[in-house]
Amino acid sequence: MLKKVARWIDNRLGTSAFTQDALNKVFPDHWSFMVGEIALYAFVVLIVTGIFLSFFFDASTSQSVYDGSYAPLVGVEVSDAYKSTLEISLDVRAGLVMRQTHHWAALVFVAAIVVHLCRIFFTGAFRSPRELNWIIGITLLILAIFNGFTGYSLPDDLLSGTGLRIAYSIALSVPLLGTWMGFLIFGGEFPADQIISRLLVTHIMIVPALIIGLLTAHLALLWRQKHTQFPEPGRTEHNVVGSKLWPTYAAKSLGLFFGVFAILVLMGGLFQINPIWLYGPFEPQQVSSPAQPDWYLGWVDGALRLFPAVELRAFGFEIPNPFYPGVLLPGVTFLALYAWPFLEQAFTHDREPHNLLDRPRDRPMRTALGATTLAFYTVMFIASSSDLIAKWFTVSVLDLVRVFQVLVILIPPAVGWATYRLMKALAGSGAPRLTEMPLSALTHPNGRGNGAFPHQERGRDAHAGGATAGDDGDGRSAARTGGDGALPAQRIDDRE
Amino acid sequence: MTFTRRDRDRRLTVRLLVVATGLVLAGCSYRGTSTELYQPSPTLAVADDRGETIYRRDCAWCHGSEGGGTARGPSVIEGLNGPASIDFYVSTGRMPLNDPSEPAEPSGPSYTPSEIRDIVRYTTTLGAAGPEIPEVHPEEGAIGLGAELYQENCAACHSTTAVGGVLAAESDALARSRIAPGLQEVGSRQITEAMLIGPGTMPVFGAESFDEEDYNSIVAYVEYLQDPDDNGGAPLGHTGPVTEGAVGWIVGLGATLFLIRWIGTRVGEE
Ligand code: HEC
Ligand code: HEC
Repeated sequence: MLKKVARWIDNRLGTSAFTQDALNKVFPDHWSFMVGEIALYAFVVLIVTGIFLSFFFDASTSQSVYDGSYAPLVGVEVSDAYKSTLEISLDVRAGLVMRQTHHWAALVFVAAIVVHLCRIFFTGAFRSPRELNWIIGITLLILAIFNGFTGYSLPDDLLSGTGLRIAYSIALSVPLLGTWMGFLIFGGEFPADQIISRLLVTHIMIVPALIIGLLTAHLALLWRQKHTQFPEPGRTEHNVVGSKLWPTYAAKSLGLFFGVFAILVLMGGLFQINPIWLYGPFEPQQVSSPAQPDWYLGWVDGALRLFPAVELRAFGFEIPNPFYPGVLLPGVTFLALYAWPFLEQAFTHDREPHNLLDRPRDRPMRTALGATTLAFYTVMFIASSSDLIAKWFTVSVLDLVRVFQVLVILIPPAVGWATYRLMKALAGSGAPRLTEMPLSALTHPNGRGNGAFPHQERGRDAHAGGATAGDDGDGRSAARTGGDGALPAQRIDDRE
Repeated sequence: MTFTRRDRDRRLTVRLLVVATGLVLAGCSYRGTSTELYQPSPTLAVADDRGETIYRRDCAWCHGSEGGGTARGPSVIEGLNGPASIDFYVSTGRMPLNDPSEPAEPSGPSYTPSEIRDIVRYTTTLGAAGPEIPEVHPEEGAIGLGAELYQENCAACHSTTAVGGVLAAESDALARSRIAPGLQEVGSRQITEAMLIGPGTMPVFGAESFDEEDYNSIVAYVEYLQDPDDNGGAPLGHTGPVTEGAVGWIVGLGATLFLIRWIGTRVGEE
């Protein structure tokens, strides 16, 4: 019966050939290729828990006197948004674990995207023909951060109100457009009544729809262009070595999905996150302390803390101070990220399509630049907790900020230089990985030929190799088991 | 007896060692005398009044026998000093200091409650006329009102969850003016006294700021924050997004990365 239905559908849609293809598609097994999948599955968890939360959340800022089950706030004027979040946390069955899982999933979602981005960057996977997917990926990162911030702002508690106040002052700092933009986004002067309902629509409809659309495009492009892979014997520019989607990779991926789900729900149950009942409702004349954003905006917060209190004039305008760390820095950051594949092409004149990845040591300059950039943002990120660090070490917070102002300039180049030396040494030593590099390689970075790891030299330009599969005639890819290994390989038709 | 060269060398070494040890010992004793504190012998200060005895013995050498202050400590009879301030400083363990250059930080009290009452009584006779020791009844306060007042007046320094915070002060300022301590341990009487006298850089929240109900309510809320409703698992120190971010990365992403490393391979591994 089932077979009949399947045949009926196939006769009309011709799906079986596609399905056959899809099931035989080959995925590389290297662990780092699954970081993006962590982000994907964290996103699924976000959607599932988010739908649950949206049943109970009320985005209105109209005020009423709280008389719910949380005794310390009985009799206090609170907004409906805050009240409904309190109810989700304390009264709705499983509400708190859902809310906390949602929040933890958001933190892990963005973290996984950042690690995925690093993987793509340091292995050169963004090179031709995958620039478009790089651009989509950066856009996804921006959207993820933005959606995280809108979500953080929804409960209308004192901490999120403090965050919104900072966002508002950043919007106002934009020359010429600032005041206008602030009013447009917030619907009036801070704290405007409409902001929470606008945030909600953005948070649960607009941005998620964009993310889903772009994610689909991201995966479709990946499917179409096929995976990259690390250079190894048997892996060439024209094949993909790994596991077939069905059954091996599907099983792995499903396992990963359940694993990510389990980890996030466990965190939601075991670790308290954002206890808004302790923070209290937002009041315009109050700020919470300590006030930090969620980690993915920590670098902006750190930059706001570190940027010296100068007012610079440009083009005859007085530019308010938050503009530089709050608007210019993120703007330049993301612009540079978008432009990177093209910048690199301009410098290296390498516009060839690449399906084999670089190892970080193969491009010491790129690796060093990446490490420099990461160090820069990491220092700013740490500076965002300057008040807590000052308290833990009982030092003056003003001194600490001064120290960070120096570190943010000194550390990145130092890290970049060290990385460059290290990558050079690693490449020179021929060691298969960093942990196996002899220390002497550091002092003689160009000392090739200790001959300990000769086979590694072959990897990058290995063209032959038993695992390569042939063309099955009609131009479609076919997976076959290679001659010497049990690995299925798939020919890449990226020039069809 | 003849000395070999080696013997001579050894004797020289021994002599050098002796000299060096002597120097070190001298240094130690020098340090010892410099920090050894002047403590009038108790027998000198025996008085009928136990409060007076303790004051003369433990406080007078810094605050003066009349309480007017010395180079080692300020006056304890002027300004807002009075029963509340004496009680606060002594019962939080800030006083007596051992060394005038040490910061006056909260620690366990050095006296029994009845001794503290006697010290307070004695200093009042010296003329300390500041606020009386308050009667506190947190159970009569409205915890919701307390929450509002706390957020508005105290949270900026002591943090929203009362775990303490830093104040923007230069490094040459006194250590205690750089930090607003966490309020996890402090008792209800001391909370009110702190508001009445404003220790260190803390502002005074006197009768012009709060009435009796306000004080009771704030104390009720601070006591609540000492042991709050901790739904949702490990509270992670109540410090907010910083610790949350660390846990998100280390536990959350860490566990998932571990997972993919486990089900994935690496180069050269099948
Ligand atoms: C080693 C010297 C020393 C001793 C002993 C000492 N104090 Fe103090 N006391 C100080 C110093 C210094 C300060 C100022 C602390 C500060 O502001 O950080 C102070 C502050 C005070 C204050 C607050 C005064 C104000 O106006 O801020 C009181 C009250 C006080 N001490 C009471 C006592 C009592 C009671 C004793 C005895 C049990 C005592 N002190 C013992 C040095 C001392
Ligand atoms: C300007 C910042 C600031 C504000 C506002 C402030 N405090 Fe303080 N508070 C401090 C500092 C600094 C100390 C430590 C003083 C010292 O040790 O000399 C302190 C000490 C205390 C202590 C003693 C803690 C201990 O462990 O002994 C209590 C209790 C206290 N504050 C309660 C409050 C309450 C209640 C409010 C609000 C009504 C408040 N504070 C507002 C800065 C502040």
